[in-house]
Amino acid sequence: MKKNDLKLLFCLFLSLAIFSCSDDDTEIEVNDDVDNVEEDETEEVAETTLVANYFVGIEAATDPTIDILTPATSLDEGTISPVGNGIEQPAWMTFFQGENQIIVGGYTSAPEFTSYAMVDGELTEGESFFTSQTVYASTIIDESTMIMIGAPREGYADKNIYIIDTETMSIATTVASDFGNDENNGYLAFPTDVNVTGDHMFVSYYYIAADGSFATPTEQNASVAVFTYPGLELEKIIEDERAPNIGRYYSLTGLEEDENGNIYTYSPSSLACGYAPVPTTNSGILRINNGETEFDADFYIDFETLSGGYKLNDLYYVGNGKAVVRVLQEDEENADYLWATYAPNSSVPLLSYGILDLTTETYTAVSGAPLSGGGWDAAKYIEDGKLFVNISSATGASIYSIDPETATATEAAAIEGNYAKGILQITTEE
Amino acid sequence: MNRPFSLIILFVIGLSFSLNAQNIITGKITDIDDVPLPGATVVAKGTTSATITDEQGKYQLNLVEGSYTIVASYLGFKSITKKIQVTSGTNNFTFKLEEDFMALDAVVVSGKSDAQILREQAYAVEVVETEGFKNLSTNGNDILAKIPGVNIRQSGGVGSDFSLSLNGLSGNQVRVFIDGIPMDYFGSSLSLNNFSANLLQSIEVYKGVVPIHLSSDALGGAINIVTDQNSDSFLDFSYGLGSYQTHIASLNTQYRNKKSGFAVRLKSFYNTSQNNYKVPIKLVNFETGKEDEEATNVEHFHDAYNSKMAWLETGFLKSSFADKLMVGVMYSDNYDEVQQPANAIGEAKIPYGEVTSEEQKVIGTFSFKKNRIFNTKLNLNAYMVGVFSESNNIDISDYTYDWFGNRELRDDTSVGEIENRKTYLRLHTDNYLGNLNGEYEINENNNIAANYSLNALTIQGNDDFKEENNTQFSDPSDVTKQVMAFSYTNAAFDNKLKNTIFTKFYNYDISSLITNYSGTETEPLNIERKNTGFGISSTYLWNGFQIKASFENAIRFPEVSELFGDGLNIEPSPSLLPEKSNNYNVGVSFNNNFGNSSLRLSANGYIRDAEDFILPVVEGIKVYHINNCKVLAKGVDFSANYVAAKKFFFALSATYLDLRDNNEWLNGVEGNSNSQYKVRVPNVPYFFSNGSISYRQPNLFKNEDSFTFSISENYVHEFFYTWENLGSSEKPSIPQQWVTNAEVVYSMNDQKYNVSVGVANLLNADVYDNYQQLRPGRTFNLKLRYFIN
Repeated sequence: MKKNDLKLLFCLFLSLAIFSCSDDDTEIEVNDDVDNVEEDETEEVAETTLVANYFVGIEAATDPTIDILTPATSLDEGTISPVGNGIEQPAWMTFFQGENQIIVGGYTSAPEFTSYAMVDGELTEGESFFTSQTVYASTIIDESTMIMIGAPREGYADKNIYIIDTETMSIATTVASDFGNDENNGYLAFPTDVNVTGDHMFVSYYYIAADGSFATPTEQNASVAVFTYPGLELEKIIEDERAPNIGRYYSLTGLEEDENGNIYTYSPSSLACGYAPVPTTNSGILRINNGETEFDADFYIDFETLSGGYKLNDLYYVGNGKAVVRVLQEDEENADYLWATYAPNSSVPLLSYGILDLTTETYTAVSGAPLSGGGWDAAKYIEDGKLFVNISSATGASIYSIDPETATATEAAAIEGNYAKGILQITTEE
Repeated sequence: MNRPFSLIILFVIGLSFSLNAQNIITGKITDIDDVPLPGATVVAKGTTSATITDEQGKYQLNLVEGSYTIVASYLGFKSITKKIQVTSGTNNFTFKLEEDFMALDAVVVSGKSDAQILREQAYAVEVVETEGFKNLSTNGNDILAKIPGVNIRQSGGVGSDFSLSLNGLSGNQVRVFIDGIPMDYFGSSLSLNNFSANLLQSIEVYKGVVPIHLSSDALGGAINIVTDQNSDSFLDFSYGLGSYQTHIASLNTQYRNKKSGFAVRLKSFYNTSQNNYKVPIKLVNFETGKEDEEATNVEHFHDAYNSKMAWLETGFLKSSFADKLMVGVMYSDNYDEVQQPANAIGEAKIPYGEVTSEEQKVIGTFSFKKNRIFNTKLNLNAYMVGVFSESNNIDISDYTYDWFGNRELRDDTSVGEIENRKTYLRLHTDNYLGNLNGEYEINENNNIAANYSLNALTIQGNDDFKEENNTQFSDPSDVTKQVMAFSYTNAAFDNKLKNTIFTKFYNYDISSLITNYSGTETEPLNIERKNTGFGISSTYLWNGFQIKASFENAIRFPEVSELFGDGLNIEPSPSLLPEKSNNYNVGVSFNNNFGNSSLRLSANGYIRDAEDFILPVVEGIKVYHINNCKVLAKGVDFSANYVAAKKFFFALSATYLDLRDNNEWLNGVEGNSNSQYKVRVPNVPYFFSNGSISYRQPNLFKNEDSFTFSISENYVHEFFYTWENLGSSEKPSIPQQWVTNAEVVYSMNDQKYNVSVGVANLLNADVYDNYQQLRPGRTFNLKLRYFIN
């Protein structure tokens, strides 16, 4: 329903004389590949601009905790404040960047996901759906499809693969699968990310004890379940002993895809990311090449050795073979480090940033940013080749932009509230 | 347990003395029809002489020659104050007391009842005499909700969780006592929401400043429930029937031998309800993930509650060696089905079908009271209680339920309904409480008192499923709280000005451990804290006006449920620190009686300046507790009661509360400004009001019968349940709520037979308390009561 409305609005806007954008909005020159048909019909339009509308999901207060999906006039400067500004969320939420929509999910009276889109220049709440299982991994396929993986946290019940129609915001298909479990040893395969390239769907996972303790008692090779897509048949499980478990609890970034459809995986191998005991294999990076369903035997980065003792907490592919990585150092014998990167307002923040060139296999630490406390999924947004991230600790929260070319971080807009949980953008035409 | 034994020794010493008596003046106390009033009080003001009348209403008092002011009083009658001249020989003075009618549905006072004497203490105290409520289908919460400054929020039907707030502080910050004993140690089987009005004599509400005899840690005030202290033989039985298969019965009886004072007393009740009220829910089709466009009315199918209690005491009442010496044993239990997570927003899409909690307690009680012990000016009052409880919190279902009560076997039967692991937590708690209070009258205008209280708790348990609970509770955790308190009271200007100063020394000691989610790591936890609190309260009486002012620097230690959780939704937070508050109160009240009518007006203002607030933090459907810096509450409340021609009763109260986040900086880091600074604390009703009108017609059909009709209205202003300054559009809120209740009572044979019919929420309004979970709509109650004295 929303799509047709938007199309209508689009035509309407184009057939009118275009007013210049307001000062607040960021202008982006329209690309040549904008719909030619409409362009023919609207020859009187001298110039079409795409406007980026920014939103930041902010955990705005504690006692009670409240998340606000806050419009931001700029990511680069000023303060983004949820005071009197934005849409209050019903619970502790996760923010997903869709194609021209924002999807927000969390546990209200069941796991609930709601779509937001721009209508008449205003961010407007759309349809919602509920899942029966809590979702721990997801990926946007296209403007109308999203995949979510629901999982139990104890026992060997099937994990649900939900194919979501994001236009109607409903579950199109649910496929139950018990992939990856090791019932003989009492381990449950817990998903960390999902990605689709070509005609395959990849799901990374790690083992947790199935007894409900949420412990990670075993050392495990990097493991990915490979499904056909869109058939969703489990084809095989691939493992690689060069790196341990891929991703971390609720990271949503275990499988990052580059421009060529290759998937890079990162393995944290650290207490601070929730692995106790720490796997003996170093924190590292593997690759699944486009069209393949095996790890690339010729590609492996021993990140700990390369970086001089840092471990990976997150990896964001930015472009041109470069990734921004969020990293930490820890004392593997000190239990205080366990889960230490899940504290956005920590008074002892651990995380710093670096640039990893995946082609030359070189690492450069990023300068200009203070340490940050981390969190569950990470707020991230890429514009003009720069990555915008949340950096927060007990002393406050800000958005920083990281330039992978210069390996520098620059303080951008400040965040009023605890921290930014999602940095999001919807493009509209004017 | 050494401390309880030292208390026993004190009691034994206290018992080994007895009292002699002489007689100089004698007389009789009767009602206006010359019917003797046994048990009435006669006090010679400004002296230590006081007594009570015998079964013929006769008294004798020893006084030397001179002029005295004698006060004769009896519960339910207006007191008489008379100046007399005592000469040598026998003096005879007879007092005829006029009946002081009790307002049925309102807090009305005329004459000087016990309640008013308490009100005239310097403390900011409200007293509700509950006599008039005994024929109604009410519980302690219903009665308290009519007091200005008090707001009660309940999550569902009969027996459901509730939170009481008093002048802006709420939950555990307000201590509730039964006859001076902290009520929370009686567990969930005995609480304000199931306490039958028939067991009550009065409820005292201390706002912000708590007298030392209620010696405990309380941040925001205290409520003392006084159970029936009737010293005669009586039988009081009632049975109530209500909507949603609610049955409430209470039996309260006492035998006392008038010669020896030997007494046996039973207090008991039984409550049960299915709570199967209907709620509208937009049901979800989990195949498509979509919820219905239209709501379906579905029934709460797993929300039943039942509780029972029996308290048998024996000993001596009003005997020569003790005003009260009773030993008793109490049994209580409680079974509560949990329909949905209490902290979900709105009705849960996936209800619980088998989650339950249950509790059993055996309690031994010992109490002793003797005024003017050894014929001196010393009053002693003491109690000792041992509470032994077993509680189970159970989430072990193999099934998933829908709102029609249909169930489906889960793929994996190792998980429960609440979270992805089952729980069967069994907790065993041993708790010893003791209190010793001594009060010494230096002279007629000066009085000192001391109070020692001890509260020692050991909690241990195991869980068949959840390792985290096993680790947390396998070794016993100990919590000991001790409070030593002293007070001095001075009366001046012919008792018109009274001042009390007091100080309290707190000692808090916990030894426990901290564990992680997996239960694999443990870290010992030992916290010892010593704190000193103090306070002052003053009152001045002038021409029917009373002015009160008080201050307390109050302290509260974390509660068992805050420290150790409940194994289900509340997670343990054993490292909590005590919270502190500076409480300021001022109030003025006015009383006037003219003919058959009376008027009472009161207005109060207060400030609660609190820090290290213990706050529940909801994360998902779980709750844990933190010490969150500072909250500032300011408030005013107002009440008016008017009785016209002994037939019409009007009552009105209103409360406005201003509760603000007082943290200037986030996370305590200077420079990191808090956008919530000075913003109203959410999810707390801040403006509410209550009004009622009653009409009472005695001798309607025949002598000694009476008919009463009353109607009341409650209003709660709309409030946000999240921070009001955040976000800009479509902020969800709890809408304003109007609830109307009506009740009719008919009594015959001088209240021997009573019938009442009540309708709660007459207009079937939507009533929300916790977040957006609906409470039951209109409910009907019928109550029959038989009382013989």
